[in-house]
Amino acid sequence: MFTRMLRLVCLAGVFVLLTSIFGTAPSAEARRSEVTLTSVQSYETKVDGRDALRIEIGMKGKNADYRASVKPFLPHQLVIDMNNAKVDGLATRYALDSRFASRLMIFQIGDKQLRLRVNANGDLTSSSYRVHTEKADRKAKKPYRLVIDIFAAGGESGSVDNVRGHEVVIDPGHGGSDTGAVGPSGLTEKEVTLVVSQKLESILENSGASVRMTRTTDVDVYGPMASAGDELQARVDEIGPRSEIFVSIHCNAFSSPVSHGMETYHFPGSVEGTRLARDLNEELEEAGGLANRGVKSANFYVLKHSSTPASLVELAFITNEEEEALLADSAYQSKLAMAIARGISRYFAGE
Amino acid sequence: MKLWRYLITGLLAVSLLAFAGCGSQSETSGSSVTSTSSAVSSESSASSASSSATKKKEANVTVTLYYPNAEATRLIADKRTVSLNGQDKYTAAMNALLDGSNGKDQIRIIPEKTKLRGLKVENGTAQVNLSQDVVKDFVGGSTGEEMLVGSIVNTLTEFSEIKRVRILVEGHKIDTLSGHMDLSEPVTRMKDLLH
Repeated sequence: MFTRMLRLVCLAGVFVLLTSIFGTAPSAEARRSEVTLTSVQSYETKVDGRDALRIEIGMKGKNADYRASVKPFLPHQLVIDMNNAKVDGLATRYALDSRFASRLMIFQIGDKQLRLRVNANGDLTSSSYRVHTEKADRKAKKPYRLVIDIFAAGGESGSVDNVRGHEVVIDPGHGGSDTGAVGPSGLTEKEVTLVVSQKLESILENSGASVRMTRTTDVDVYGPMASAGDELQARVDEIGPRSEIFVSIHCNAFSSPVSHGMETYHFPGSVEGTRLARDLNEELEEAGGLANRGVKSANFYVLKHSSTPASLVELAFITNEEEEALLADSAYQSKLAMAIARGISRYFAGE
Repeated sequence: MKLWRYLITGLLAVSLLAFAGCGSQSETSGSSVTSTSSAVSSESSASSASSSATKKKEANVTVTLYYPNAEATRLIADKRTVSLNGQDKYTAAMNALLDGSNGKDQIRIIPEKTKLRGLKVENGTAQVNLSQDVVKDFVGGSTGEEMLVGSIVNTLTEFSEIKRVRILVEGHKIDTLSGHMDLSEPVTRMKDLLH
């Protein structure tokens, strides 16, 4: 016991020492650093519960300078531009054996400038790809690397009418350090709200709407350990000057496992918010088939502080065993996403 | 090696002392009402509407407590006579609410470990100071939050002199309990939950 503690104390000491020596490296020098691409590896896996193709590009060096984008005229192609980068011993084309993407290409387009292209098997939306770097992992024998995740093409294939040209803010409830409610088998609210929101984003983008997501990964929107007020305010701060509605997606919870059903909320007295909540409620009832607990008004933070008409939907009770199972089911999640998209469609149609 | 042991033992002792210090501090600053309503509260309770010393210890008060039903569709009133045990009537009502209900179809929504740290009434606003457990052990959900807040607010606004209720956690103002309700301002009676 004591020796273990001693070891911990020593480790902490070494850590403090190391950070004091290396932690203050000048950032200008870091920015000037250069990377060399040395390996390519790809495999299918699950990322945050979603099926994905992961491409890992090993690099020498550090602080890779990259920018990922999808051009509107080439929606199935992910382009990653890299500055201060070169290749060493890599092919220019890689065939990807995957449902999600067919090919990776690497072009040298200038002195120390690279362009990577991934051809996806469908149109890409902001939620259907993700690019980040990961530190070297000695245990896994992996170098510092650029990680490209490609998710199922467009996530969802459906579309709805009346939303083209409109801008919608989608708020996947909770996230990061805040799991939200937790079901009896351990399903967390934050994962369900994110998946349903991403499916909804795909449907709306397929339909020509522009979508702003308050979060696209499992994170706190403001930051971990922030006050609850800052966290909720950060979500409504995602509402842009052209945004027209704000839809917050949640799963309900209660201390008795009996309580069940779906409900939608609006801010008291908001006429347009009430119309939105009612449209969403009717579509969710029709598609989800759960007990309808109604369209309710409540003094909820995001509804109160939203500058656009807003609704918060409670898809189902995650604390109810049967409804938790539904919320975990991908096909059911798609159904709910489609229902919300139809509700939004009806709202923009003036219904 | 021995030297190290002494050092660590010393460190442990210091940290234990620090812990003990924290404990005694919170005991004196809190209003020292435990969750069991039978416990006798100290006379130094911070409650402004403190019952005068002339009241007898066995004095009773009739309170109306609100608990959600199992479906969490509404709050159900539970009229009870509770003994004051030296507490003011508001504190007695809150502690009785925290004790839970044996009533049929009345569900505990406030986490069981939640303790009342203090309760004071000023200018029609009751400030209910609860322990961290109310956040830590809370099940969450929009409905859960509405029912939890509603049970406290509606129980206290049964006293006609209380118009609004502000919930504090360990003495601090809160923006929300579980990310839905805006609790930055005191809450008035939640009539929607009563039918």
